[in-house]
Amino acid sequence: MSITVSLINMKGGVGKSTIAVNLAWHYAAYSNWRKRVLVVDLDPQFNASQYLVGANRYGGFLADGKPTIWDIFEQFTRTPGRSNEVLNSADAVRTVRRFTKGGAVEMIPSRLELAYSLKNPSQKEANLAKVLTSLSNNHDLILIDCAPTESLLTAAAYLASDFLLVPVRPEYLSTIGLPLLATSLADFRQQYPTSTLKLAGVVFNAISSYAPEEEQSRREVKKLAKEKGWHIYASEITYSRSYPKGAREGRPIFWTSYARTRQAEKFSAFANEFGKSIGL
Amino acid sequence: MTRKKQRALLVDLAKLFVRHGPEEFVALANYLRNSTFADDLAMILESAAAAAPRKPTKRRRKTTTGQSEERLARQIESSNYSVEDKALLYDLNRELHSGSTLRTLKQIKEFAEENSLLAISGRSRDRGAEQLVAQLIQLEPARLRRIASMLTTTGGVDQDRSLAQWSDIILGGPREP
Repeated sequence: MSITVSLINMKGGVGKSTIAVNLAWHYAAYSNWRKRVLVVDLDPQFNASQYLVGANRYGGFLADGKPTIWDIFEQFTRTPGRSNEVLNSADAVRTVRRFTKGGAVEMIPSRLELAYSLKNPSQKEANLAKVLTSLSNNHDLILIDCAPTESLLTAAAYLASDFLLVPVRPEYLSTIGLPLLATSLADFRQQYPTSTLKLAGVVFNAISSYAPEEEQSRREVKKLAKEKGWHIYASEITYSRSYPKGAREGRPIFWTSYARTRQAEKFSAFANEFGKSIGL
Repeated sequence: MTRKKQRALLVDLAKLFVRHGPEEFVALANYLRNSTFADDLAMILESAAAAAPRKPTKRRRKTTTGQSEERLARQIESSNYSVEDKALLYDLNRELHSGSTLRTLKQIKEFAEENSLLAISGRSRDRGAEQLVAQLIQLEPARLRRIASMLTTTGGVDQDRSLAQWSDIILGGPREP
């Protein structure tokens, strides 16, 4: 059985896609993990897909007739000329990389058209959970990279997940995404009182220095987390130019030759702490 | 014949005269006067060439994949790595030589580049695998383990990541269904 985690924050640009992809690489490649990890790109901007594969391969995904995340949401939508067959969940999974020792990174790609699902969202929120449940024996960990807005996609991610991981940049606008998330979670729990969804914790991302603004934001986040009973991970992810560079080159941070060892180690420390916290 | 050439030839003849002695030299002079000399000369040169000891040519010994794997396995055995790291290296040696990982020379070259190893210059996959393993044997244990963890049974990094390529996908893709 797999563990499913959604990376979520109601603020964009906090590093959700970057952390999701780097966590997937970490758990699949490192010898102490060797996990089969599935990354579900649940954002119409499809940044996680862009990080994981190149343009040609992605173009092939759109053209090969196999399902993307959009098809998962629209599989029961009746439209003229479109087959009403229930899709085979396994067909939606694309291999990114398999490692010789058993670990693997796989993905369900997103596409721009996912945004159109938001226009007609009724009764689609459970589709993702159904598909991921049917795939749970094939993976150890499923990471859902969420879009930064409250929508059908957020509800779908909550329903499909065991845990939430909340990346936060210690800066004013980024921290305001947290109360928005708290509201979103409270609404969800009201609507689905039997849900066992847990907030695994908050991780500070893109830490650069101990500047006053950063420190103040950190204090405020810690205060809110304490009020809400949210865990804050002791390991923090430091800012590094290697992250955007790694995304451009399709490599995890620990595989970029220019990554300072210390920064790669910081990410590794967080990944290990997070993995243990969710029982991976 | 110029005077200079004539003089050079006479000097050489004088040397031969001293070396072989006057009697042999006179006998040879009589033979040279004979009309069959020109015909005999070609035959003499052929037989002289056949009699000359053949210079041994250096033939490049071809190393087979099995030999290369065995040689590297011996190097691993005699290295200072821990038992676990040696086991890891044995696996890498076997997998790289069998082609179960990094199946093409291109993948081997890309892997070396991605991991800041020396460029692979081999022109065949076997030679590339040999060069890669030879480099891995020289690494610090921590780096060896890190690089080994990156070996995949699938291909390398997709290189088509430019903004122009993504723009083609995004702008040329299907619109609202």
